[in-house]
This record gives sequence, structure tokens and C-alpha cells, in this order.
Amino acid sequence: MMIPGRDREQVANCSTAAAGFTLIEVIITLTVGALLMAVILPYLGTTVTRSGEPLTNLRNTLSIYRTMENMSADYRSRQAGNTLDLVALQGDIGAEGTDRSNGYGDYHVLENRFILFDGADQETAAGGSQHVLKVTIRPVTFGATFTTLFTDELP
Amino acid sequence: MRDNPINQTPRLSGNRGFSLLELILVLALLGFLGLAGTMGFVHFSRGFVFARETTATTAKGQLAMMRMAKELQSLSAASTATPTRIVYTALRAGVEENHELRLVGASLLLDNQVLVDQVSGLVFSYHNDYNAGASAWSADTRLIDISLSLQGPDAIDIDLQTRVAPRNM
Repeated sequence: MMIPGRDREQVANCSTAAAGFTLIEVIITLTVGALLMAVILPYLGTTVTRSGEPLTNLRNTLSIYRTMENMSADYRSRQAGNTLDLVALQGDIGAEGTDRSNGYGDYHVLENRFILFDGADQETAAGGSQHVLKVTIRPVTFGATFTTLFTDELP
Repeated sequence: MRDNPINQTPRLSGNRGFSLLELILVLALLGFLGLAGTMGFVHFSRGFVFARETTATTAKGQLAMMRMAKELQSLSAASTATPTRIVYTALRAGVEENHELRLVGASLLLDNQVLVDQVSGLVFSYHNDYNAGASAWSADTRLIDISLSLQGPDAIDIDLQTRVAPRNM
């Protein structure tokens, strides 16, 4: 027969000295651990998940290079056939700020305008002169930007 | 019940161990977690190595494509032009130089120096206009298509394509 008061005290002492983890403690630990992993994993994972980007970038760059070479070949064809008209070429390349999909390829036009060079070799507005056409294009999504100057000089 | 010594003894002793069932459950859970963790780590490591090798192959491909584009841009004439070999004259700063691009086995050679290895496919094709189909090399050729495939990791081919308009023909 034990004294109720002493009984309670012993139970309390015992449970603090030899306590295991309670269910709540385990759940909290697991949750915190899982949260930490969820935060860390995406950072570790970008090396893998974004590893395709260099290849995509290269393909886009080669593709826009191809487009620019098509324009150059077309320009040289017109030159050889004595049908070179820079205004017509400008029209075929397309308006600035638009996405184009045509025989040249798929591209976004950044610049397609006539320019001039002043006495200090600085680019200036053409002001009606149509002898040098400046064309800058980039892939529709992302990648390198290419610029070419077309002149109306005949070989 | 509280007054029953038989019931109280195990609680009060403080030396109560785990039951067999608890032990088995804990071991099974730990084993499962360990297995899942290891598999995740192995997959991650493989993915990392794969990504690194792909990036390395991509860099080699970029170097080879850009070099070939530069070479063929200055081309002024070609004595041999097949799908895997071009013997050409390049005009640079008013000086003519003779060069050769060709595929030997899995290596793409520029003047007998290896430009890139791991090549699983190389095709040069020739076009008379930007919207014309491929035709044999002639004086009217205006564009050279380059299609290069490199052997990447896990036997995956990395295909790269571009075209060049020789400026001096």
C-alpha cells in the first residue's frame, strides 16, 4: 500500500529521468528535417535540372547564326544578280521588334534600319541616306545576338 | 489499479527496455529511410556526372562549330568538297592559304590537327541559295551546311547544325 502523494512524485521523477521521445517530438524533428531537405534540394538540383541550358543556348546561337548567313547569302545573290535593293532587303527581313518566321529562319528583329558613320567613325542616324543597312537579330527565346551591316556597294 | 505493485513496478523501475516489436519497427523504418536516401544520392550523383559530361561535350562542340564557321567564311575556292571532307583555299587579309577539313574515324581534323574527337557524324552539304535544296559543290555554291554529331555520355548524340556563306567566292 503506497502513499498517494509519494507515488505521484516517483512517477514524475521516473518519467523525467528515463524519458524517451514523445510522438510530438519525433514528428517535429521529422518535419523540420523534411523542410530543410525541401529547401536545400532545389539548390543542389539546379546543376542537374538546368544542365541542358548550355546546349539549348548553343543550338539557339547556331540557329541564329544560320539565319544571319541565309540573309548574307540572299544579299550576295541579289548583289551578283544586279538586283540589290537595300530597301527591299529591309522589307524582307521585317520590322524592328517583331518575331519572324520565314525562309531565313525563326528570329526576333532587334534593329533593321539605315545608318551612317560620321567623321569620327561613330554611328549616326541615316537621315534619309540608304547606303548602309544595320541588322541585329536574336533567337525568339534566348541566345546570342548577331549584327551585320549590308551596304549597297557592288563588288 | 494505481495501488497494485505488480502494475507499478515496470513503470517505476526506469530501466524498461524496448519491446521486440518496437525494435523491429524502428529497424525497418531506419532501413527503409537509409535505402531511400542512398538511392536518392546515387541518382543525384549520376545526374551530376551526366550533366558535367554533357556540358563538356557541348563546349567541345561549340569550339568546333565556331572554328569551322570562321574557316569556311573566308573560303574563296574548294578543290574537293564531299560530305566529310573539304580541301579549300582561304583568303585572309589578302593572303591565300590552303587548308583541309576532314573526318577520320571519330576525329574531325583541320590540317591534320584534331579539332574535335567523339564525332559520331559529320555532314557538309552545299546549297546554291538560302531556300534551295542541297546540290553538288560548284562555282554557284553560296552556302555550306554543317551538321555535326558528338557522342555524349550514355551513348546520347549531341547534334549541332549551322550554315556558312563563304564571303570570298
